[in-house]
Amino acid sequence: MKKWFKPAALIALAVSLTAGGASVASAASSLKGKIVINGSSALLPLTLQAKSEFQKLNPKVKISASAVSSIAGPQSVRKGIADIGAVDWDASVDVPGFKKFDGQVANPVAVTVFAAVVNKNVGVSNLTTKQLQDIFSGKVTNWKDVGGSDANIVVVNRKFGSGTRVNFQLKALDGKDFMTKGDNYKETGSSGDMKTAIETTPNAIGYIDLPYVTDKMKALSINGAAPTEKNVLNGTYKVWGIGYFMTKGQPTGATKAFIEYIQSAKFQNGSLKKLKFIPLAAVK
Amino acid sequence: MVMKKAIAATILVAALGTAAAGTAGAAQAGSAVSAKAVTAKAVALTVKPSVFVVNYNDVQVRTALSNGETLVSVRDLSAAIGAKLSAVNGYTTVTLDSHSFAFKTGVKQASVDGSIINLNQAARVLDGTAFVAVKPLVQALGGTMALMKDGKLAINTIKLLAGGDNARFVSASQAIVSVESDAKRTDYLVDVATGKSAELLSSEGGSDLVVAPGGAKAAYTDAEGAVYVIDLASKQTKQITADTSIKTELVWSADGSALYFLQGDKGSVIAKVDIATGTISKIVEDKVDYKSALSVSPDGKKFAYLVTTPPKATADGTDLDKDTVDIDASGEQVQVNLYDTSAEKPAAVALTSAKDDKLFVVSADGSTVYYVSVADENANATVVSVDKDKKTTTLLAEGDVEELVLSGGKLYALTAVSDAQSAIYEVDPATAAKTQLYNVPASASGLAVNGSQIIIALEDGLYVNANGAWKPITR
Repeated sequence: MKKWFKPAALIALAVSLTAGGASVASAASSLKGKIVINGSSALLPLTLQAKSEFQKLNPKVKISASAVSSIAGPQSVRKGIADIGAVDWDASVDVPGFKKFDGQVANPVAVTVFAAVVNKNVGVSNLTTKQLQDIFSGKVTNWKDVGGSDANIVVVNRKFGSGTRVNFQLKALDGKDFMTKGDNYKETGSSGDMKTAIETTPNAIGYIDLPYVTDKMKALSINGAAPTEKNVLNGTYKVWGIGYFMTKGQPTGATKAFIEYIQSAKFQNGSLKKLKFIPLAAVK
Repeated sequence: MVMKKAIAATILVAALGTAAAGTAGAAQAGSAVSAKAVTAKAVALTVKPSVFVVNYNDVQVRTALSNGETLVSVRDLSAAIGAKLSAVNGYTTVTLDSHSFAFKTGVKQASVDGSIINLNQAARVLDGTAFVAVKPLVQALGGTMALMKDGKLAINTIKLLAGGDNARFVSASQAIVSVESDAKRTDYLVDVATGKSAELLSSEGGSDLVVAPGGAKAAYTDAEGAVYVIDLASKQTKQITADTSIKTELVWSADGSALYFLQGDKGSVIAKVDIATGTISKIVEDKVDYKSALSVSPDGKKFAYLVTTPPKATADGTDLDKDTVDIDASGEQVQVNLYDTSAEKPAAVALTSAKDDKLFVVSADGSTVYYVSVADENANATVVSVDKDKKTTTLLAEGDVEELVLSGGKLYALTAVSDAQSAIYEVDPATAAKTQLYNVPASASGLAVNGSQIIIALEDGLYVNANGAWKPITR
C-alpha cells in the first residue's frame, strides 16, 4: 500500500496525507507470536537487550527470556518448553562432556569473552595457563605460590552444565580437570551467583564472561594478555567462544526474525558491543 | 482517496509538458514582469516569468511554452540549482555535481554525462538567452520534478542521504539521522527543510547520539563505554569520562550539566556523570537487575524506569538425558518503578502490577509515566499513563498503537487503524484530548516529533511533514 507514496518522483509533492476521519479497525497485520528462550546466563543480558529493541519494532511478539545454565538451553528446546536454547557452545555437535543435540540448529549470535576474576583484595593481576591449571585443580592453594600474599585461595567454580565452565576449561585450562571438593571450594549456579561470590569472598578466584565483570572484582590477564576485545582480535587472548541460539530445525516466524535481529549489523555493532560482546563478523 | 490523489499527481508529472505550461501560465497571471513576445524559427514564443519551487525555495525563472513542452532559461535554472555553465565551440555545458548536460541551439540532441540523447525540440535562443526543455535538463542533472497542489513545478536537485534511519530532531531545522553499514554507523545532520545532509560522526560500536536539551550538543558512549559529548555546530568531540563500565542508556539532565545512565550489563545501577568534571556518582544501587527505559525529573530527584523480572528457570544437571529443566513464568513481569531520592526513605515503588508488555516508556516529570501497553498478541495496544499514586489511565485506544513519543508535553502515537493504514495521534495528557493528525501508510515507523514537525520512516526513506505535506529527507 505504499505505492502511492513513491519516492523520488514525488519530491515535495504537496499531496498531503489525509487529516482525520479514519475509522478504527482491527489490529494491523504485523509479526505476532511468542518466543520462549532459556539457557545460558552469560547470554541473558544480551537476549533481554535484544528483546527490548525487537519488541519496539514488533510489539505483538512476546518474548520470555530466562537463564539457568547453557546445557539447559538445548535441553529446554528438546523438551519442548523453549523455542530458543541459549548456549555458550555449538550444541549441534559433540563437545567434551556433552553429546550433540540431534535435530537442533546452532544459530551463532555473539562472541563471548571469558575472564578469570578475583576478589579485589587479591594482589595478583596475571596468571599463566599452568598457574591457572594448578589453582583450579587444587594443586596450588595459597596466593603466595603465584606471586600474591600469604592467603588461602578460594576456588569458585560453575556447576556442571555451564557454558562458561566448558569454555574456561577448554581454553583457559587447556582441558585440564577442575577440583571438585574441598574446604576452599564452592560452586555457583549462574553467572550472577559467580559475580556475587567473587565480589564478596576475600581471596576468591573464579571465572565469568566479560559483561559481568564489575568494579568490585578484578579481571586477570592470562599469559600476559588482558581479556579485551582488542586482544581477542589480535590473537593474544584465547579464552573466548561463540554463543548460539539453538532451535529445533531451522527457525521460522517470529523466532527467525528475532535471531536475524540479533545477527543484524545494527545490533551486532551497537548494543552487542555496548554489552562487551564481540560481533560475530569480527572473528570470522 | 489518498492513493487516487497521488496517482493523479504521478500522471501529471509524467505529462509534464502540459502541466508545466499551466504552471507558467499561472505564474504569469500574478507577475509584475511583463511578457515579451519573441520570434524564433518563425514561431512566436512568449517568454514568461514563472515561479518554480527549486530545492524547496520559490525561485522566479523565465519560461516559454513550445509544442506542449515547457522551456526554461538555462541561465536562470542553473543559477537556481547552483549548476556551472561553460561554453565551447557553440556548445553550452551545464554541470552539477557529477552530471553534465551539453547542448547547442538548433540541435535536437544533447549529451548527458557523455551519452547522446534525443530531444523533442532543439534548444533555442529567446530574448537573448538560451532556452531548453526543463524536463530533460533536470533529469540529466540527477534532479526530480513534481507538481505541487498549488500548480507550481517543484524541482529538487539536492542529493538525499541514502539509507537514513532513526531520526531525532535537534532543532526545528535539523535532525540527526543514522546510516548503518556492516562495520560502522555514520550519523548525519539533515536539514529538514531541504534534505541537505552533512556528516556528523562515524563510529564503530558507539551508542546512539542522545541530543541534549536545547539541541546544541549530543552525548554517546564508545564501544568501551567511555562517554563523549559532541558539539553539533563545530562537530568537536570531548571525552567526558574514560570509565569503561557498561552504560546501557544515557539521559540528559534538564540543564545539560550531567548525564544519567544505567550502569552494568543488567542495568542494575542508576548513576550520573558530571559533564564538567567527568565525576561519576551512583544514585540508586538497590541490587535490582534489569532496569531500563530510564526517565529523570527536571530536578534530578525522581527516576522512573522499567524493571524486568525474568521467569525462574531451574535445571538438575545430574542426568542430562532426562532434561530435568523447567521454566516457571508465573513471576515474569515488566513493571514501571519510581524512585524518589528526595523521599524520607528512598526506595523503589512499583507503580504498575499488570503483566502486559510496556513499550516506549516516557515521562516528562519522572513521576507520571506514559507507555504503550501490549496485553497480548491479539489485543490492540493502547497508550496508558500511570501516576505516582499508581492510578492508570488509558489515554488512547484508537487502533493498535505501535509507537509513542513525547514532545513539548504532548504525546504522539503512531497507531495502526487498518491493515493498510496507520494514523498519527496527538494526545494532551493534561486533558486526555486526542486529535488525529495524519493518516500514513501502514509501513510507517520511526516516529519523531518536534512541536508541529513530524518525521516518519517509510519503506523508501524518511519523510518530514511540512505544512500538511510530506516530503522526503532521505531516500
